[in-house]
Amino acid sequence: VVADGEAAIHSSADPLPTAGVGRVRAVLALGGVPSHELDDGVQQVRLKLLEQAANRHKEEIRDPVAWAVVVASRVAVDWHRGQRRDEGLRERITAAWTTAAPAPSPEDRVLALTIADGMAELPELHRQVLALRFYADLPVRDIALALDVPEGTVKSRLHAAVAALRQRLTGIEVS
Amino acid sequence: VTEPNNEARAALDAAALARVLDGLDAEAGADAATRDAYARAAVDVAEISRALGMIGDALAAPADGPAAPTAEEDPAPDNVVALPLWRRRPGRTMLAAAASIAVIGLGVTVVVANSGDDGHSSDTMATAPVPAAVPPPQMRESQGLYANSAGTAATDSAAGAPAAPAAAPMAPAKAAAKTAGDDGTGESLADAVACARGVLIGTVVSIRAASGDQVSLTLRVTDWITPGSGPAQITYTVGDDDADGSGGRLKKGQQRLFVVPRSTSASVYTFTGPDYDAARAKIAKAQQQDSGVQC
Repeated sequence: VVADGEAAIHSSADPLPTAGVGRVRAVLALGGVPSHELDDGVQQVRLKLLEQAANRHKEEIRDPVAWAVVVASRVAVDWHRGQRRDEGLRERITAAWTTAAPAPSPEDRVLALTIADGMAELPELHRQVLALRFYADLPVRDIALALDVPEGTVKSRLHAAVAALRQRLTGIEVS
Repeated sequence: VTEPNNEARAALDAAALARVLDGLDAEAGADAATRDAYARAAVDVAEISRALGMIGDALAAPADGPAAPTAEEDPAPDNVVALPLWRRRPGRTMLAAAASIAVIGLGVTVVVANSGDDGHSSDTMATAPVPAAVPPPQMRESQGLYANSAGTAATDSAAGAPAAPAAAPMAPAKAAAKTAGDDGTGESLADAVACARGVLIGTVVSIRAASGDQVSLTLRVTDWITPGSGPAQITYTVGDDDADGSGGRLKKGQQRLFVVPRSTSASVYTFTGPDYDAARAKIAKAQQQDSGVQC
């Protein structure tokens, strides 16, 4: 399947490293992909990785996990365009916490739900850069490169997204 | 109608947020209002970043089971020093004779014992093996997503990541001639301090797998040493010393004094012990040394 022997991901049967699956799922979810479609989203990311590896005209992937989360963010944006936006973000988070160990503190719950509410109101492209910058921990420059947009665009989306979320923080006590 | 002072404050907040998101420190010589705006922005960004981590981790978990696979681990008592077997080799000590050195996961834990007459100033230190064999961090530039994007900026989280600490001296010594690897390669504490992205006392919030042998280490900062101030929480991309499966990685909840090297693939130096002042003294000494290292 993989023709490019130089690709960093060629040696693995699964193009998505195990360590990256959780991060891809998280970025998909942060982008609004419903939980029951996360597995499909992960598969889409795998396919994209295989396509990238097979295309010798494309750039070599040095960091498959970082690349995968960017792809995941795009998949999430596409989900929005298909009007399959997740409506139950708050409920899903709360449900997930019932099985989480250790359970988050009450203060952390308030903080996370507040931000989740704010995320739900953001344009999908703002959510995308937010997840890539703060969850996937990618530098602005790499996000711009991966999304093929100017760094200034990434910065302005990030700034707008964070500014909107900051408004949500007003009035709540966070540790 | 927005009052002028509100407008001014909004402008100040926006500018401060931009600086934080760009990973810049507060403007040198700024007035109190500007510094306050920066501090507020840094805290907010850190909290948003932390919240996104919680949300992402919660949502990534399979519907029928807890916990998405991450590198986070449960807190462990601070006095437990897990020592990877592969580093239990004799070597030269890095610090003065009074200091014990141990090596722990994620980086190098330098257990600083109180010097002098207290032979068992700390149970942890007294009982900790003293391999003095610091792993050989491989210095290399931060990596981008693609092979041809090497040299991109360091991947410190924008959660208020301070700029490269200008306060760090440029050229400390080859402290103890590579306290590090037995093979003579690697980076000394002095080198790491000289070019450190940050020197701070804080608590491990999370450790997440990043790429390859790197992890994202999120710290809640209680005391900034270098630079002198920074956000309440920060995430660094650093080398993962647990990549070989030897175990012993730092644990969530542990408090340490951290020296975060410039290289995103190098190990973190961590100090523990009852007396951070001793560790600070070692840092200060390292900062005063001159190794000629180029940052």
